Amino acid sequence: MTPVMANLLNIVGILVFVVFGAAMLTWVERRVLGIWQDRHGPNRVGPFGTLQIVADMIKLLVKEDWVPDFSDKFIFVIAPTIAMFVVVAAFAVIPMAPGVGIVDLNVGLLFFLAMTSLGVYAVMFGAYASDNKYALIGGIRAAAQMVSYEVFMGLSLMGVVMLAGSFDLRQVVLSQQDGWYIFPQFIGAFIFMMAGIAESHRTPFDLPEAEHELTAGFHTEYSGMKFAMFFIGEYVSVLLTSAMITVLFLGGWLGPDFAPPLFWFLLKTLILVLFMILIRGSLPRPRYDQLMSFGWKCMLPLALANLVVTAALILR
Amino acid sequence: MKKKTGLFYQMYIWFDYIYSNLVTLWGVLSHTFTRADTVQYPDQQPHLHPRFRGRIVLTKDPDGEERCVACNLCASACPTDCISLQKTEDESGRWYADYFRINFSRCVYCGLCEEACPTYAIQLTPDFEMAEYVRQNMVYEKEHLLINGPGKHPDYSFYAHSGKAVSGRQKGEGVNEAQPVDVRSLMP
Amino acid sequence: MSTQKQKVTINVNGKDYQVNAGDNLLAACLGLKKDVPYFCWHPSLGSVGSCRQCAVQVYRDTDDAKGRMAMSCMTQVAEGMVVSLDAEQTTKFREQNIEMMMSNHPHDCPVCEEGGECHLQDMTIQSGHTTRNYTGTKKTYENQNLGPCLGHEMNRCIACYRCVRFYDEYAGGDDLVVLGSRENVYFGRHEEGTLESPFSGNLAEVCPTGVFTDKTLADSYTRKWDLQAAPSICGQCSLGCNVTPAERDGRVKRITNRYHGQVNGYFICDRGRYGYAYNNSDERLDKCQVTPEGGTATECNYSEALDYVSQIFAELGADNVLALGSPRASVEENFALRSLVGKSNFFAGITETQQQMQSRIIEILSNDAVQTPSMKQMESADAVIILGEDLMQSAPRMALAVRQASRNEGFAQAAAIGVQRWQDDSVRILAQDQRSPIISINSTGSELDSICAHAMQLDPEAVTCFTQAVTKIINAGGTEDAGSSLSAEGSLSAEGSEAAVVAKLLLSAKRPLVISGTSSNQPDLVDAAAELSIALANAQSEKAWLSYVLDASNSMGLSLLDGKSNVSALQERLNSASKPTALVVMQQDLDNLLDPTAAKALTDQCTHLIAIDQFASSTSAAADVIISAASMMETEGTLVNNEGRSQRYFSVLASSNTNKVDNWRLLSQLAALVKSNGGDSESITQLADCKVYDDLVKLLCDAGGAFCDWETVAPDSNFRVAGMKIPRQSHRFSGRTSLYADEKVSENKQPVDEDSALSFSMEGSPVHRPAALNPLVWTPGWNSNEAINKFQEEINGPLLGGDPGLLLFENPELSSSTALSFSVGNTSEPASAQNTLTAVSHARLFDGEALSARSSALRQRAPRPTARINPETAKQLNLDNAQIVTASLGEQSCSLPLIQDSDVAEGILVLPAQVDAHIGAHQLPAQVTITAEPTIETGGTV
Repeated sequence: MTPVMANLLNIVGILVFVVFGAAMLTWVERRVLGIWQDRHGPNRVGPFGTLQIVADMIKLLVKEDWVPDFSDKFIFVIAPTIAMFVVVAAFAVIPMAPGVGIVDLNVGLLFFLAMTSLGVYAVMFGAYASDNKYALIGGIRAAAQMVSYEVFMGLSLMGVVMLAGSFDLRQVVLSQQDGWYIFPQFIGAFIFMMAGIAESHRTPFDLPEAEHELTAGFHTEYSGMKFAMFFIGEYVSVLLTSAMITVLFLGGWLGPDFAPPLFWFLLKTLILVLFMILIRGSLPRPRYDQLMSFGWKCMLPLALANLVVTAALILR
Repeated sequence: MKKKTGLFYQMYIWFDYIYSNLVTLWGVLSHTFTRADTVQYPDQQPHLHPRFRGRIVLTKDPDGEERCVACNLCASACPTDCISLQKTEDESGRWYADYFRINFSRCVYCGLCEEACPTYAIQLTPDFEMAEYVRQNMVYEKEHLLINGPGKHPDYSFYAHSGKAVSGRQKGEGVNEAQPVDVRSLMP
Repeated sequence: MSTQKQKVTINVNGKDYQVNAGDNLLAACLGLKKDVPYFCWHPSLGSVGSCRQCAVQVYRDTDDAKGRMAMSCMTQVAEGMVVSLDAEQTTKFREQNIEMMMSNHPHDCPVCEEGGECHLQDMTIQSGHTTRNYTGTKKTYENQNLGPCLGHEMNRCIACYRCVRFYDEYAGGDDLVVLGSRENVYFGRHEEGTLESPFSGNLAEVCPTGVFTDKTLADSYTRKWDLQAAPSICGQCSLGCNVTPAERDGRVKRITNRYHGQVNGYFICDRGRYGYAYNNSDERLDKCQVTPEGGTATECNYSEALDYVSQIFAELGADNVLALGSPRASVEENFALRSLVGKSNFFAGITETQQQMQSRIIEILSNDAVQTPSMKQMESADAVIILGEDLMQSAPRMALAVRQASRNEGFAQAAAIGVQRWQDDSVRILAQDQRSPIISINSTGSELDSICAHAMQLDPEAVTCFTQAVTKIINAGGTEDAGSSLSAEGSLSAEGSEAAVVAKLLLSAKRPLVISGTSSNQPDLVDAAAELSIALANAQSEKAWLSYVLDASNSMGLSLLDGKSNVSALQERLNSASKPTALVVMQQDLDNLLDPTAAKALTDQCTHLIAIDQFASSTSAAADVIISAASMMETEGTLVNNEGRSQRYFSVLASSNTNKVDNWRLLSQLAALVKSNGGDSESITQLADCKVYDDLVKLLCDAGGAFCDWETVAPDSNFRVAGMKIPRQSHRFSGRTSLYADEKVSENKQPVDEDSALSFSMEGSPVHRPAALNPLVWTPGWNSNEAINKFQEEINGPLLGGDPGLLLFENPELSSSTALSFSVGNTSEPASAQNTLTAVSHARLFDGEALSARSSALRQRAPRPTARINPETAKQLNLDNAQIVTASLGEQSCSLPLIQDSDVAEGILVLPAQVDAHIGAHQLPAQVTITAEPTIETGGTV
């Protein structure tokens, strides 16, 4: 296998895995929520309802893909593209297993942070271009929320960087052979998880699209495949956050030798995904001001304290 | 009331926040191992209790006469205004509905009509399978609603208590009724 | 009337209020919009204190904590009185009291026509009685069939006595009585049969429970909350009583009284209440019909008919189209018709005599020396003389007002010993049969004669002479000497001494009232009545009180619009016409104006005849275009009643529900078509531009004269309460998603009413409705018509915001101060030929009006038409044994059973004036030839 072929296989394989995985995640989420809510969930299309996503896809594809007359059409169209692009692009730096991964940047972590912070543009553009009051309020909320949580998302990772001594994610994984960083960096992992949920604006931090008050928030005017891109983008984001936590805190592909490394990576990611679904299925949505004060008054000091303590212990 | 601000109180509050969230998460997670409450309808039929609020029927009294006296209370109680009827009467003065129409495409099965009915005529039954391909078919007329039995209150007959003379029951023949007053009598 | 009432301060529930001194506490509290339960008290009937439900706690002063219980209806308010409406003792008493009343009340509210608007239900809830403790047997009663108008269910009676107090004491009926003894009283007739009083229908509203109910409503019963109602005016006579017609599903279900402080108060007559049935009649002209020349009649829709008529306009030229208006069409409809054909081509649909009388009446009533009182004001007159009218037949609500006026003697005596007028029983016991003088001078007797101090039957011309004689005596000082000296001069007839008696009665009164009318077709009598009232006014140095009863609901409006034309002028115009001419006849039957031969001649002279009417008539039979007209329930308009009060009525039925188009709108659409065909007169253009009713009202305002303030009659269509229209339906209106679901499951949009501020829906303002636009009397807790208390400024007073309507004779443009001059009646020699007699018509209540006579309930109640004659006259004419008499006038004749009646003036034959009479009322009085048949034959024509 030539390096070119290997790279191509990596790129195509990971892209397919990410997009297909995110799509399946919609089914997984609905089934799992069903189980937890003492009902069945989608179980009619295909075995155990696994083809539900195919049915949904057909529905979304044949739906009228309406661009409102009053919208800013160009921005309206590119907003979901950005949403999809940034999360998929961030997957480029995730090392899934030895030899599996698209690129090993020595600033992989910074690349990840850069990509996720671009995600706010998708939401803001979509909200602005819709020319809709609900969308606008959703967009403003999203911007404030994502910008705020980004701050300590970065800070929470600095402890790991200090421990590993590298921004290269593969290096971070390899440096966990002695012990997962979740133990020394428990607070960092917790903050990163919270921030990740907020970044992907999932329940309980889904205020930009809170349907009780804002119809559908920033994507009120979206339909058809454009809506699907926002929708799938969110699930890719869930996968991304889970994968990042696996890489940074749970030792990535490291695990007993009876199973291939990729299996351990995927297993850990899946457990994290399920945990995020559990959070979604059980915790209520806070008020907007509670969300902001939780971020700035609780999470940020906690992240800074974590950073200082970690630094102090390393420099000891 | 003075707001509590002590450090220990604040810590307690934060602990409570975290603890309650963890309890919630565990509570939901524990449902992984409980049975689903829903059934696989239509493969499985759900069990419906007698007081289930489904398809509306009009019942008949023990004598086999229509119970509905077209008093209009169900219609006025109906929050979606989906009941309409017109009163008419037979030669003996017994009231009944000339037409009685329920637009089930509007009905929300709230059961207020049943609660409002003074004669136990209108009753909701455990039957919800009323879907139609044509919405017009959701409009039920009296002949579709009327059943040949008394439903939930088998012994009640409104006219036995009303004091109104109808065929087969003259003044004074009802429950707890005295014979008609003899106006000409001067007896104490 | 504007005397400032004396006020006292009372403290109710801890708050001070100003109330009218002399009032009873119940009326005062209700007037303050407080909730006090009551049954036997009625604002018009006064207090008797029999039901014990209105108990309140009265305290000595504010320091008194205990107080004593008092029946508020029997307690006069006093300065500084301290009252509690919710003291524990009284609330408990009221609850127990109503429990006793309810102990025998049947369990039949679901099958009771009163349910949902029942005063007993309201008061039971208000008094807090919820659970029956009585477990014994309930009393039952056999019911009676009381005729086609009222249902009877005695089980429901709570023995409040309101029915007999209204029926016997207030309205003067004598066939509803209270029978039985002790707790077994029975309210009914001695034997089954129709209640005879023409006010019997009010029992359905007076009865606080469901003993008496409206049978015509029960036939196709709908609860009050399900009815769509609109404020309307009764179109059945000239008094303009305010009514509320109510409909459901395109069918008018009933009419109820709509309180008006000055006109009808709480009561209307049975013609007004049950006459509505014409609207649902199968005989209605539902489709337009066009008969082309030489073709056959084909039914068509409005636009086709209007196209055809506009062709006629184009063909003949707009100048050659004439029109005949109608006294039962609204001012707007007549005005639109006049605008369409032009002033010179419009003729009022009345006879020459009627036109003379009506224009003269307008002239008299416009005069500053004369005031025409409202019916409420009439009740304060202490002497009434009725000239040439049988009010019980032609204007029964006015007869009811006169009956109340007769009680003023009793009220005056009671006032003298300090008894208030609301102490109903005391006043009646004190007064016994003493009454203020009511004098009736007419060619026949009347049911009102029983309360008359003086009732005389004279032939029509003698009525005028007698009136003039009374006037002369009054002018001469009013003494009997003056009478006898005048009669000695020979200027008075043999009735001189009686004239002197009458003059004396009238002069002894402080506020005498003269009532006359047009039903006897005596133009001289109009003058004589005015002269008498002015003579009385001069003697009393007050404004003369004078009231005229007119023929139809809008006779006054029509004459104000066009006082000079009449059907005879139309005849002349057609006779002199050189070109082919078309005639539009709106809501009038030429047979009502002309004898059939003349009517036929008139129609033959027209190349085209266009009839706009609700029912087929001989005119529509001759017409080549028939346009189906909307009834009063289907359109809006304004009527001017006999006192010049213009009152607006609004459609209760949506046009989408009836497929009828407003008559004025039809005429406007026709004007637009005529205009597009080249008709370019200004009035046609203006009419064609009337898209909504307000445009037409504006046009009338611009026309000026009596109509210059036409916009102020009622709020216009832009009127809103807090941005909302006023709903015609109650907020509980049911079934709107299923009423028409059998036809189409998806609901239609609610009909839009662009012509008024009312809407055909349940959405809109529940409160603050102006009196002229209020379709529903309802406040929380008060579902019955007794809720009217909450809509009045004070009990028996004007409606909140003032009684609706506009008094045209108060308009300075109409008033004139020049003294009236009166013609001296020239008495013609009575005919003396053998077998001829002067026939006069006698108005008939139940079948005397074109539309209400279509009501089957009223048809059943109408007495058999008979010819009546004085026994003396019968003897002279050898009609002693005659049982059937045939009266002939020209080519017409009618055979009727002959009744010898001593209440008929000598020398006349009284013929009934029912709508299909062979000899119409408009032709009488006239000399008729009489042939008698001794035996009754079956199939005699009526």
